[in-house]
Formats: sequence, structure tokens, C-alpha cells
Amino acid sequence: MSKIALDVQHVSIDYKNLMHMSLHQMFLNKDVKKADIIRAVDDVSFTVDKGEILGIIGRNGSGKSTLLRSIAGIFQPDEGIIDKKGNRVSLMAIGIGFNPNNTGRENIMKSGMLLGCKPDYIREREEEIIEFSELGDFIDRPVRTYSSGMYSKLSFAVTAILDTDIMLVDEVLSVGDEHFRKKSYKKMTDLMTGAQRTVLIVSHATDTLKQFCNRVLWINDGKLIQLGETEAVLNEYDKFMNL
Amino acid sequence: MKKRNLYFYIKMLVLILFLAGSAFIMLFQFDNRNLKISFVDAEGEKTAFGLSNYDIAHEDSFYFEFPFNELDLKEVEVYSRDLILVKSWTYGQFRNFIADDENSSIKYLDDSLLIQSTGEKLRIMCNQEFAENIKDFSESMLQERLLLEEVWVVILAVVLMIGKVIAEKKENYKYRQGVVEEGKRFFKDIVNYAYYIVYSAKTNLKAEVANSYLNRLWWLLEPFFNMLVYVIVFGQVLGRSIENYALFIYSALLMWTFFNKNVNYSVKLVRSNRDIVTKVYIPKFVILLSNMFLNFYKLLFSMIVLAVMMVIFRVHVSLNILLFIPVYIILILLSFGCGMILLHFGVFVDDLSYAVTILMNMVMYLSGVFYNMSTTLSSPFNEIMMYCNPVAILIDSMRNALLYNKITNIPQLIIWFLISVILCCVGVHTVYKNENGYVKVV
Repeated sequence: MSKIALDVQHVSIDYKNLMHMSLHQMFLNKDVKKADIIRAVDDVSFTVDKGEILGIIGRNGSGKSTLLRSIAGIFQPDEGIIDKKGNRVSLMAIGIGFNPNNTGRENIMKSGMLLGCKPDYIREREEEIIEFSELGDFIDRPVRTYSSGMYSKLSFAVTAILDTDIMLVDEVLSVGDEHFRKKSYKKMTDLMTGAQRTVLIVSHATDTLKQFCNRVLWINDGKLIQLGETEAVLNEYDKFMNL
Repeated sequence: MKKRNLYFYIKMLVLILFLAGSAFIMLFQFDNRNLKISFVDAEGEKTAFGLSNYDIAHEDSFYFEFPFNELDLKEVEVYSRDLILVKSWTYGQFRNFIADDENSSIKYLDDSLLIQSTGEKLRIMCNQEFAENIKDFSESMLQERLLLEEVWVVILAVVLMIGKVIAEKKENYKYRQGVVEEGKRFFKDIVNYAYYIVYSAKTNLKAEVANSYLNRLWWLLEPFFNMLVYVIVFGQVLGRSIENYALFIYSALLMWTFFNKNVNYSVKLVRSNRDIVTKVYIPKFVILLSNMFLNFYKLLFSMIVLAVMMVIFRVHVSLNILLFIPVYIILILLSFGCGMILLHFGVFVDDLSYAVTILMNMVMYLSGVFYNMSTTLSSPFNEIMMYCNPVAILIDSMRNALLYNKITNIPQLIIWFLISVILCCVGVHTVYKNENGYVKVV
């Protein structure tokens, strides 16, 4: 029996254009049109079952990332309800809140807390993260001394090990050298295919989606076009894109 | 045509009430006030004389008779209603008001005025200039009016807040949290993020000093050398009549730096933390609190130097020093409240940080960091500042409690405490309500 893990009901998200302004514009605000509203996501509804992997596909600027961010709780939708059924949700992003002058260990703690984990839980998983990131002694040196590869290894390790119930992936991440890329790709695969994990992937690569997803959601200009079996939706999408 | 809602009418009502109340407070003919003249000697002992408004209006010379025959005069203070300090004269300024009298001799000491009498009792005769001054004080009522005006503003602000709460409840807002839920959310957020606030402040501090040679010492050196510059530049001009001028500046600088850093940081807060804000949800005040915590830690560090200096300069300390704690609490509330509100506008207005920097510069010079507001500036400007500029009030009270053993400005402190709390509530509400939009803008 499948249990619903995420329920998205009639969600719409607006972007107000021209929200930036300078003091000069504010006082002489004849040119500022406040009503310039762009609807990035328009009345999208779907549900995701527990353990399911849902792909989201669409053109650039069609509102995929906006939807994902909204599910992650970074901002509330303007209309509609996102019901997470009490699950912990996080957007898979690397290097959140990293301060280059702090040591790797301190950054693990900070980044982990920002992802919503309890300090004790982070301490428990700390060794695992350090091991996975292959940093060795570098973990107690400031992050600014790291090479860019080491930096991305660490940040990937933090997000990958401190996992959450519902994972939101904006483009599948692959970082580091060839060896680590394979390893991280395998980790991602393990994470996503783990039985109890619910995953939402945003990607342009139809191959990736074909490999992982149970179902695919296709958004165009903020509107839901099709939601269904991976093959069927991707074929339609390819046809549409090749027009 | 915009539909006018309930809140619009409440706003209009409050505006009208504000104007009417202000006009009333400014124009009402109060009775002239009674005054209390208090002579402070070098040990801080006070001898007070009450003067009724009738006497002040009709006499043109005054004398004060003391039960002893020798007075080591340091300062003369004029009070109204025991609480409101109208004016304070240093011994040098008061010397001009003393009329010559063959029964007594006047001598300048190092930092006081020695008045001796040949008879058993000391009598200080004051001249006509003094009488005129006193008369003006009695008539002006400026302090009382300002105080009343502030009370009025506080009351109206509360009314406006209640109106806003009711209006938001009635309207079909997306944001439909009541006061109680919002309060709960605030405290829940604080509890949830308490460890992060402390940890992030700690690691940021560590990062700041990680690769500097003198590391923590910088936190001491910065205010210390600032103080040195002020002492050298202003010491000769403004510091002659001020006891312990170095301490006088240093203690105020600490307070000012704390406030200034918090306010300046909060304007740019969302922008400078955009990689956090755009990737995870975090209540924005958590970042602000973390930064305040960092600054507070630095402040405590600098306080050690303050304590050492107080010992070196042999500052006389009594229980009055405890006023220092509530003053700092008000300062923290005020910085948090201002910070939250500026944080909100800082997101939408690009160049607000320039404006705030300029404004803060002005406020610094108007807050009496390196001079004594009430004796240096001329009336009524100093009185307005001492009632309307919270930083000036806080600095003055803190300094008086810490260095001169005096408790001052109690009515203003209470009012500004209330205003700070209101600012905090408004700030937290505004940010909670609008933080959705921040991510879309930065």
C-alpha cells in the first residue's frame, strides 16, 4: 500500500517584477509599476507517494526550480497548499552557509544545522561525512585552503550524508575528479533508490530521468502539461521540444 | 479605486488623534512649574531647595541658606517634579550666578568651587541672571511637553497595532497568523535555532581572528585607539570640564559601536547572506541575532578594558552602577527592533545602506559620544536631543551611572523601553509577513 508523502494542491507562485528599487526611484516613483506580476507556477497539483521518484521536466524558466524551492519551504506559495505530511524536506544544494575561514568540521556543523538537523545527529554522522569526503587531515584546516575539488567533495558529502525524508534535487550533482564523480554518482543513486526515500528531481537530461524516475511531471510556462509514466511523458516532451 | 478597509479608517483616526493630541500638548497653558535646586558637593552629597512657581515668577533675586558654613560645590542641578532634570550647571558656569557677598569667600579648587562663610551658616546669594534663567525654566515646560508627546505616541502606536491585528484577522490575507501564533512561532524559532545562533557567532568570531596576527587584541585596540584620537582631538576643547574624559569617551564608544555595527549590518543582511537565504528556509532574525551575539561578545571583551580603566582612574562606585544593566537591555532591544525594520527595507531598496551610513554618522555626532549633551549644547536643542534621541539618552544614563554615580533620565528610559519593544514587535511581524518575498528579490 502506498502512502502519500507529499501533497501539492493548486499551487500558484507569483514573482513581482521590479521589486528592486533605489531611493531615487522610491521618491519619484512614477515609473515603478508595482502590479507587474509574473506567474511562475500556475495552479499545479500532484501527489507523490512514499518511496517514489518523481522527475520534473520543462524548458528553462518554466518554473521548475521555483516549484522545488517552494516545496523546500524557502517561500510559501501565493495560492494553494503544500502538505508535507510531517516529512523533513530539503533542497539538495551544496555548500550552504560555508564560511571559508572556518575549518571543515565547523562548516559541517553549520551547514548541517541550516539543513534542519539536530546538533547531536550531526555529531553522530560527522565521521561518516569526513570519511566520505576523503579529506583526511584537511578537515581541521580552514576551508579557504582547500582546492576547489576538495571543497565540492566536502559540500557534497554534507548534503548527501545528512539526508532527509524527501529529497529535492535540482540537477543531479556530480563533482570532483573521475574517481569521486563515480563515487558521488553511486551515492546519489543509492540515496535515491533507497526504499523509503521520496525524491523529486529537476533535470533537462532525459537519460537521467529515464534511469531513475517512476513518474515524470512536465511543466511548461508554469502550467502542468502532463503527469504520468516516464516513457510516455518523455516521448511527448521530446516531440514538443523538436517542433 | 482602491477599496478602503477597516485598517485605513483606524490609520486616519490615529493620525487625527496624533495631530490633535500634539497640538494640545504643544499649546496647552500649563501652570509654571515648581523647581528644585540641588547643590552637589565633591562627595556627591546633595542639598536641595524647593522653589514654588509663585516665588519664581515674582522674586528677582534668590538666596540659599545652608545649615553648614563650608561648601565644596561641584555641580548645580535644577529638577522639576523630582524626576526631570531641567538643567545642570558645572561649578564654573554657576560661578557667574553668584552675587558678591562680603560674608563669604569663593575659591576655585582643582575641580570644584569652595565657598566658605565667616558666619555659622553659609548663604549663597544669586544674581538677577540666575533669576531670569530660573524663570525661563519654570515657564517653558519643554521637557514635560516632550515627555507627554512621547507617551502619546506610544499609546497611539499600541492602538495602531491593535487595529492592525484586528484588520488582519478580518481580511482574507494570505498571511493569517494571529498575535498569539506569531509569538509562539517566534519563541519556537528562537529555541530551535538557539544552538545555531551561538555556534555560528562563535565560529564567525573564530574566522575573524583566525589569520590575524594580534587576533582578539584587535577588538580592544579598535575602540581604544578611537578613544585616544577623540581624547587628543576633543580633549582640549570639550574635555576640560569633564572628569575622567578618557573613560567618558571610551564607555560611550563601546555602546555606540555596538549599536552602529548592528544597524549597518542589518541593512545588508539578506543580500550578504543570499546563499543561505536562497537555499534553505531560515527565520531572518536568526541571522541578525547571531550577528548581535557576535558583537555583544566583542563588547564584553572591551568591557574588561573599561573595568581596568575604572580601577586605574579610581572611579567611585556604588549600587547606582546597576542602572547600567537595564540601559544595555534597552540598547539591545532597540538595536534589534531597528535592525529588523531596516532589514526589511534593505531588501527592497538598493541604496538604503548608503543612506543609513550617513544617518548613523549624524546620529553619532548628535548623541554626545564625546561631549556632555546637556551642558555643551544650547537649550532647547539639547533638551530635544535628550528626549528624542534614544542613543543620547542611553549613553548619558549609562555614563552617569557608571562614572558619576548618578541615576538620570528614568522617565525617558521607561518610554524608550516601551518604544523599543514596540519596534521589536513591528519588526518581527513585518519580517515574518514579508520574508516570502525576499528570496524572489535578491
